[in-house]
Amino acid sequence: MSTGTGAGTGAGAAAGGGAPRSSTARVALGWALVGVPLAYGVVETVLRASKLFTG
Amino acid sequence: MVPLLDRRRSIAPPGFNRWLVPPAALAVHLCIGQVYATSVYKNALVQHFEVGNTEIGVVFSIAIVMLGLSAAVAGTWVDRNGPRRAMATSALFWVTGFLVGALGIATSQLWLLYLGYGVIGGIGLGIGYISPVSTLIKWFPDRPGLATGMAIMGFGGGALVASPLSTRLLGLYDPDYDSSVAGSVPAGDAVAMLFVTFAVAHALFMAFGAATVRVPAEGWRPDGFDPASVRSKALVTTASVSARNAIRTPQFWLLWVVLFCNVTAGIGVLEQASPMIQDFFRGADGTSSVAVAAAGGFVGLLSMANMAGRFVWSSTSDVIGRKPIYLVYLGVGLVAYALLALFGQTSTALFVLLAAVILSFYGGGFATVPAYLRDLFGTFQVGAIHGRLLTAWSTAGVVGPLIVNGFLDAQGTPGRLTAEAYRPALLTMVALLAVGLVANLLVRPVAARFHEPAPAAERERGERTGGRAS
Repeated sequence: MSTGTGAGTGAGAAAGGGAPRSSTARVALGWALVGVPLAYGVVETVLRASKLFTG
Repeated sequence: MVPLLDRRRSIAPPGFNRWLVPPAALAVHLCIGQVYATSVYKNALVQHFEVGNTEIGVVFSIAIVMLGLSAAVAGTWVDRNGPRRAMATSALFWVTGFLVGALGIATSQLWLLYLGYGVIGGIGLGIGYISPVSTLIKWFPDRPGLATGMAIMGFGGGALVASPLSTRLLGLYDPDYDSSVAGSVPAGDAVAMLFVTFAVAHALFMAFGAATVRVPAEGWRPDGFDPASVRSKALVTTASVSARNAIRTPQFWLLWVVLFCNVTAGIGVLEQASPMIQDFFRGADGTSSVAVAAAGGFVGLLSMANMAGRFVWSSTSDVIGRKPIYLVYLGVGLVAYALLALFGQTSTALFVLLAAVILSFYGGGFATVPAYLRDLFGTFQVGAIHGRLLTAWSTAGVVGPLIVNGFLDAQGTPGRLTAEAYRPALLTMVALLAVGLVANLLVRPVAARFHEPAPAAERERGERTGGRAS
């Protein structure tokens, strides 16, 4: 499995050859944007689910 | 037409990081997954419109039916125009649906809620659901199950986010509403405000998805990826099958049956989760040993299992293959369902464990099916084929509750049912899963007569990428 930048090979990759536009920071920001609300939902649901064993 | 949304404008530049595509897809799926959190304000709408549960429940049913229909009808359009235009269109419909729905609530016109959230929002649901799928498969040819699992996990996660968020916002918009007090119901105006809030927030979130998503350039493949490694697997084709031809193959309809059976079985538990666990542990005196709060916790646990199953099982399918993983969903699911029906009442832990396993398979079935389609029909029009297959979901969304409610209505009064009352409905689900298992066993590679001639498929791809086909 490729886990790097995913720059890859082929027509698109060969066409430019410049520095990657999408930095690691952009990827981290993108994941944070969706990860934070998702984490909020998971935490709230875990708290609710815990009532199954405590309530 | 907005040129910025053109497929050609969304082709990734060299060096683009493919790991930006899953959050773009998640942004859309997290928003549209809100559809599974409608129960939060269901009672408020019942009271506001002074109608029964059924009339309000219809809003959700319309949305799910429209999801399947719009995915089926718009699938080819989504494949041709690319994910950016599809996500923007989905956002437009989804947000408009909220606003029209809010207008319906504010003016007490139920038909506007049907039209807004149900019809218009449902179209946004269908287009949004399929919009990133084929793109993710193309970005992750080495791990298509993982890629679609991540996105479709977002649809399950959307309810997890929207449910507590809605409760908090409703408390903010209606100070008299206290979710911790049994019987407290928010005012209709607060729900209208909630819809407007979701419209604004989802517009921003989905715009992020549309702006971020990219399609890979023709001929792109990940570093170190050898296409021959995929081709050597059983049931994985290198050919291209069009959406029009796909629906003429037995494989498409076998998968339709597989998805229908798997979803119907999952809905069998989801539909009744809260009352079901209370009924299973009802004593001779008529009281249940499972409190209402604990039953709510059970629903939360099932949501987690549903979401986790989408990611975990779909990723696992990349390792063990699509057909074997569906044998697990349907075969092990069948055994779990039978155990639940026959012995579920003996232990709360056993009941919860079996229900969680069933729901994880339900989620896994949704998330793995795009990769299964890719294996059988190729990437050529996999989005359009996926869209057509989702009619199985719509059908299950209608049939599943009908089976469960039909059997339960015949067994007695809600609130007084016991485990035995559920047995006929659950054993019907066992039979349905057996049908799905046989359908999956019958899946074979698609016959060569359905394959596209190679030059035609290449020409189509060339047109979509501005003549850059190699």
